[in-house]
Amino acid sequence: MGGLFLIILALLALLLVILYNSLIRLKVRVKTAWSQIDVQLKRRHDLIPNLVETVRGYATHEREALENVTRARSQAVNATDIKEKAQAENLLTGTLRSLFALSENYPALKANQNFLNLQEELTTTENKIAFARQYYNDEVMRFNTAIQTVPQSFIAQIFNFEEAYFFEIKDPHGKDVPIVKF
Amino acid sequence: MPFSFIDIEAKQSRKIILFFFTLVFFYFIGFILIYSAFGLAIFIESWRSGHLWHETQSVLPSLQIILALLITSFLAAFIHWIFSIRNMINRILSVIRAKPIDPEDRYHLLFKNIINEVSVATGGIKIEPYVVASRYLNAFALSDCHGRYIIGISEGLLIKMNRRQLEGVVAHEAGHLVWGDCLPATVSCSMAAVYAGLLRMGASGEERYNVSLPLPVLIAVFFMRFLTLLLNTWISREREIRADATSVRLTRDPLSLAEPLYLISRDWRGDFLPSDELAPIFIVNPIERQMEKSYGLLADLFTTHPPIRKRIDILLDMGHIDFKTFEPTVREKTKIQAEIPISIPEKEKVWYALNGKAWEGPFSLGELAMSRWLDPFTWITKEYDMQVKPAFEYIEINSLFKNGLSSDLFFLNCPSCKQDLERVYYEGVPIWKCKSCRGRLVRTDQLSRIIVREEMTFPLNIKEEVKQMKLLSLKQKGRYVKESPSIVECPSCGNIMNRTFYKALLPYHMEVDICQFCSLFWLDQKELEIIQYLTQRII
Repeated sequence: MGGLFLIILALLALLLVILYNSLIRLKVRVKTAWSQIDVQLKRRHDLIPNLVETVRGYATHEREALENVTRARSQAVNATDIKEKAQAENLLTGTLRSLFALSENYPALKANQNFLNLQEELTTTENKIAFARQYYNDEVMRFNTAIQTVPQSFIAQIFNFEEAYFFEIKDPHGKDVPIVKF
Repeated sequence: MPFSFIDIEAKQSRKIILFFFTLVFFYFIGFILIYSAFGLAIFIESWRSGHLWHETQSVLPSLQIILALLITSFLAAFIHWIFSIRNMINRILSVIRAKPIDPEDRYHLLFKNIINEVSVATGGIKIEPYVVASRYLNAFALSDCHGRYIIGISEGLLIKMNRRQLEGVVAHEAGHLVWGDCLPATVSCSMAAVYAGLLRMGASGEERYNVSLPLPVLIAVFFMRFLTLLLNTWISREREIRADATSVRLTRDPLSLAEPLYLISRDWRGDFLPSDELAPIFIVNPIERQMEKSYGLLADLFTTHPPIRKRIDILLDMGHIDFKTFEPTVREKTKIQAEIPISIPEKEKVWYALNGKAWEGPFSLGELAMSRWLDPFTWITKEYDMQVKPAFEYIEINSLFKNGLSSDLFFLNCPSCKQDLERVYYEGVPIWKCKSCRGRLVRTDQLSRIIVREEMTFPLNIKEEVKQMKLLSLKQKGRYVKESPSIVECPSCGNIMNRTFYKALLPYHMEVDICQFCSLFWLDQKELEIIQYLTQRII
């Protein structure tokens, strides 16, 4: 009788270990996914100075747009917490979009090899940022689901696993894309 | 109720786990049959020859035998499941004729970028891009148990799709990789091969094999082959649907896969395959002749891919569109060309370098390469750039160091008129062009790629010239006379180039110069266009 009790206890302990490990694994995946976004964001920050200089060489009168981009970039680089980061990156995307819209007026710029390379690099980096965000949100969904469903939820409560945050972008003005005006 | 891609993925995964056990089951049945067949054969033999064994050889196996066979079939299935992974990838790649990408080619660069984007979406698996230089529309994925992942695409598909559609196709292939489908796909390559080998052995029954398999065994083996074929195709179909769902999970855009599937189904998907077993790795079965219009059972039972129409319907269901609305929109969209700049400004003089105390420049990239004092830590700045960085931080200069600062690539001269050759993009491929005589230097692999891509519309004079050539060849009178002098030196190595007929267009007696050592073609003024035009007309 005592032996049976011990066996049941051992099985329970094993179950506890398995469930705890699965939660830890999911949590680590969430963290890794977050750092992936960071990698892509940093890459975008690094590409921008080169872009600004190339455009400046051909479109010397577009000072305002170029300065907007530079300012948005330094804001994004210096942002610390998640909310600030998300907002700064959103702003940077908007200024870049305006800049590329403006460059349509300068055919010499569009034929420049460097500019085209940069445009392709930035496009692919923007896509990678979007995909990295998507992957991060998927992992967060998995983790949050796991800590709320029944067997693991007890373990989550015991060990204080907290819900992770989705990478959301909430524009305070309610508008997504800045309007390009000439 | 439309399928959600999450549900499909989960359902398909459960099915596929079931399949491994089905394989074990089939092996078990097979072994039982073979055992019984042997028993029966021996029994018949002994009965015929009049000998009766004292211990009656039972035809049906005992319990211990059954257990032993079960374990053996598990082992056999397991070994089979991982068997043909060794080196399969390189063999398959060479059979399909896939080559690694050319990083200077604009389309290949686009493909590489798309692969990197999709790999970020999967969480970061490292995928190698490969391209097949042919006009058919198809894509494939391969992986092995050493963690090597490959996605390949044909030139035809690469050129005809826009970015979004390419993402859909690549995401589908990445889906195969993520689920580890490619491993069993290579197994299925060897599956029938094993039984085919056995069959060959049994059918010949020659002295050299020393063993002539009795008829019941042959039947058992046939049966096994049939069953494994069914199983293979079943697995393959379920995997394709799951990969479609994964593509939507990665791109969140069902139409990005529906459109390419539709376009592929109406075009040439490559109807040659060295072996049937290779079909599962492609996105669309190359051997199928027409887009399936029905869901008929018998036809579907033996195909490796579900009918394309069925796949498109599932995707359109997710996108809440019906086929009638979808179809005209696809026809309207034109492909988006990768941006094709005209010149490569390696000749642009925009580089300044700090030599000791003094700034020198402006240099072009070639001149910078020539300077003896350049090392990875030299301070360099570019015109318009406010920053000053050490040389190794510039991608272009870094590649110079990697190539050993060889100036060969930058100072090539035209063989006819001795002027500098300029690098330009032609159909997305970087080649050398002479400004004065407009002759072109093309690598052999680049030429096959150029022919496959048909972006250009050809001017009238080319068409006229080709007409003349055709008339001449028909009358077998003259042949195309080259304009450049008869002795042409290779710009790269200096050896005399070989003047020979262009093999693929032999009936037209088209003369070209080729340097065998460097694999370079020298083509005069109009020859490149003529070759392209002729080849396309032939196809």
